Amino acid sequence: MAGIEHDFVERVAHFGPDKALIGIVAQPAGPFPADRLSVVILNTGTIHRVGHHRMYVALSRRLAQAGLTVLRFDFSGLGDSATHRSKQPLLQSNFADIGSALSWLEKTQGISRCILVGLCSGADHAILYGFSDPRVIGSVLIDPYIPPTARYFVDYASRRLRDVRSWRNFRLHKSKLMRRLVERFSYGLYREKTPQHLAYQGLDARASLEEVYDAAVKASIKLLVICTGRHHAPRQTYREQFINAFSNVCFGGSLRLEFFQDADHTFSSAQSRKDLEDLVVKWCETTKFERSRSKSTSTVDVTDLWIA
Amino acid sequence: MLPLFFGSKQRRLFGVYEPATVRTADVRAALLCGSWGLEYTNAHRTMRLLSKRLAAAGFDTLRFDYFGAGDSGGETTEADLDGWKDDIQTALRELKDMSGATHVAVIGLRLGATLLAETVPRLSAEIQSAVLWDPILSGADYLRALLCPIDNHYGKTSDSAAYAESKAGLASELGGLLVSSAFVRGLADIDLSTYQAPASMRMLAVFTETGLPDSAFSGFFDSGGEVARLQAPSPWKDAAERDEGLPVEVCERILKWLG
Repeated sequence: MAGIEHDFVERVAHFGPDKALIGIVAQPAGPFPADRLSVVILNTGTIHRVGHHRMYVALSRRLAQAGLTVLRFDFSGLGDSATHRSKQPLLQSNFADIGSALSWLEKTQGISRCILVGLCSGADHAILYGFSDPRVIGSVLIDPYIPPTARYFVDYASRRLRDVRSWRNFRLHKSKLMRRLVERFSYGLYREKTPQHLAYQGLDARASLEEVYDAAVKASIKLLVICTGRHHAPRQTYREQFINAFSNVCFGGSLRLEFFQDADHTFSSAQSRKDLEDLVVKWCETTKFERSRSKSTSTVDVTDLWIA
Repeated sequence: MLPLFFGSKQRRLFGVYEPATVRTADVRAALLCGSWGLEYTNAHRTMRLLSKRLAAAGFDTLRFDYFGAGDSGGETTEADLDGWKDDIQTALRELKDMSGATHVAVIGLRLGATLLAETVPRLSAEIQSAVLWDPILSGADYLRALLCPIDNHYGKTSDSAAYAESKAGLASELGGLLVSSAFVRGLADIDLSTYQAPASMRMLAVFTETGLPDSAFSGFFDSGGEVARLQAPSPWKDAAERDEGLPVEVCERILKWLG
C-alpha cells in the first residue's frame, strides 16, 4: 500500500436504520490493495462531515489516494442525517451510528478492519467506542479530552500572566485566569461536601478514561494521538500531558503521540492541515495493525463520561 | 431527501434534493445557493432548515456545493467565481429536470446571494423570483474582514500563523483556505452598490446585519426590488459570535414572500 498513489472516486453512502445516515465514501478507483482497511471520520461537535476548512474532504481524498476506503458521515441529527428515531441518549445514539457505519463498510465494501478518526468530540467518540468493537484496529485522536495535570496549570497560568491581554482583562475584571482560579477554589470547597458530583468535574473521567485507554491497548488498538498547542482555551499545554494524565496506562508500542505546537484546534492554516494529512496517511500506511479479536473484558461504563 | 452528485465528470457537484412534502396545483421548485468557507460551514444547518421549510410549503428544493467547496469535486484552489456562476446554472438545470418545474425561485446566502444577483439577469426566462439573504455588497470590505482577525467573526478560530501567511500572500490563503489569485480578484471585484433588480422578476433582499446604512442597496430598491431588514441571528457567523438559535424569522419571511 505504501507509496502508491491511486485515483479515487467519491459516492454518496446511505446507511443505518431507514438509511437515515448520510455520508460520502472515497475509495481508490482502480484495483484495491490486497489488505484492505477502511477509515471512518467522525463529526467534530456539530460541524457536518466536511469539517472545518474542508479538512475532512482533503484528508479522505489523500487517504483514498493511498489505497484506503474512507467514509465521512454525519451522526443522527447532524449535517444531512435524519434524527435518531430511538429514545437513546445522545452518546448511545452516536455509538449506534458508528456501529452502523462499520457494518455498512463490512457489508457493502467487504472491509472489516477500520480506523476511526476524530477531532475533539470526534476523538472522544472514537476512543470511547473503539475498544468495544473488534472491527476497530486503530484510532486517530486529534485533541481528545485530556485531564489537566499539575504542569498544565503552571503552564496555563504562566502563559496567561505573560499575555498582555490578560492584564488588560484583569484590570477590566474579565480575567479568565482569575475566574478559573476562583472556580477551582470554589470547587475545592464544594467537593468536600458533595463527592457524588465529581464526575461532572472530570475527576472520575480520568479514572474511567484510563480504563478505556487500557482496554484499547489490551485489545491491541493502535493509537495516533495528535494535540495542538494554540487553543484559545487550551486543553493541553505540552506534549507529554497525555501520558502524564493517564499515567496508569502502559501504552507501550500502541501509542504514537504528536504535538502540533503551532496549529490551532481547527487547523486553520493550510500548512497545518497538510502536515496533519501527511502524518495520518503515513501512520495508516506504515503501522502494523493487529487487533486482538477477543471480546473486550472491560467493564467501564462510558455513559457517565459524557458530561465530563 | 436525496443526496446526489450531478454535473459533468470534470465538474462534479454535490447537492441534496428535497422533494416537496405537500403538492400544490403547479410544480414549484427552489434552488438554494450557500456561502463559502467558514460561512458555508456555519450556515449548513440553517440551509437545511430552510430547505425543509420550503419542502413543507410545497417546493422541491435543491441545495448544492460549488466546485472546489463542500462535498463537491475539485480543490479549493480550483474555485473561481465565474465557474461558480456556471455551477448555479448547472444546479438550476438539475433542479428543473428532477422536479419538472419550468420556473423556479432562487435563494442565495451571503456570497451565494451576490453570485445570484450577478447571475439572474441572464436567467430571467427561467427564474420567477430571487431572494438575496445578506448579500456581500462590497468585495473589498469582505476581503478586509477575511484578513482582519480582530474585527470579524473569522478571527476567533484562526491561528496567527494563518493570518501572517495571508497578509504576506493574499492570493494563497484566505479565511484558512488555499485559493487562487483569480478567486481573490473575483471577490475584490464584487460591487453591488449600484445593483438594480431586473424588471422581469420579483426580487427580495433580506438584511440581518446591523450597521448597514439605509442608503445601502438603494439602487436595488429604486428599481423595484423589495428590501426587508430583520432582527435575526446571522447563521454564517461562529456560534460564539452570533445570537443563539436559528434565523426562523428570516425563513418565515422568505416563505411568506414566495407565497
